[in-house]
Amino acid sequence: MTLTPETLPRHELVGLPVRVVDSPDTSQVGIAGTVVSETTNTLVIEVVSGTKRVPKGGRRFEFRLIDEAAARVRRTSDAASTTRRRDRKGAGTASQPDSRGGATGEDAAYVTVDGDILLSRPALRSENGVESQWR
Amino acid sequence: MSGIAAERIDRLASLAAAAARDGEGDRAREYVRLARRIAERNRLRLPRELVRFTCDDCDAYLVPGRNARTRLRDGHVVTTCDCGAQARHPY
Repeated sequence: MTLTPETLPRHELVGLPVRVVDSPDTSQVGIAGTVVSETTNTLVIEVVSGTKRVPKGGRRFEFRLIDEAAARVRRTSDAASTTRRRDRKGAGTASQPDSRGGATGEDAAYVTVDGDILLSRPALRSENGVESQWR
Repeated sequence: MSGIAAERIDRLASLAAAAARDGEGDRAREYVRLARRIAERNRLRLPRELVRFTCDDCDAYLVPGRNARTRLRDGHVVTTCDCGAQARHPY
């Protein structure tokens, strides 16, 4: 049960690099940074100038998945990875109707997620849709 | 199928440690609270790192020397958080 495009909506979002790809508020489109906090309705994204709180509803987010080891050193190589992100953007496939599109690069995968399916309390998000014996 | 929950707890543990080292104590506390909540909901044990280096009272991630005092007593370690809460662990 690693962090894959399929498990991302139920997995931990804090610490992941994210970019807002679509928003009713056009000034939010393009906000890119690291998720530092999450509430039921919002994501807090750390950008260069500080932190931005972006509502989940109605937005589309593009998360970049990298393997755990790469995540550790990411902090130092952030500048390099942002340029790579631009290059690879064309490689992303269109999102599927269930809004979990996946796109793979050599060492990173881009997952576009509809913010509406992330609307849940952070601690309960893992349980939604999991077949529980107790239900 | 609590693999995701276990992984989230592990990720939060390292995130909390990193945040605490960077001086983001409140953010680390938020991660610790979330990890505890996930463990509680999914009936998982917290990793030993979180048991030993978090405050039971205020959920702060403890960095000895910065926001925690660590003293040795007969057969146990006493860790005192800045908030005053003490935790004892055998050795």
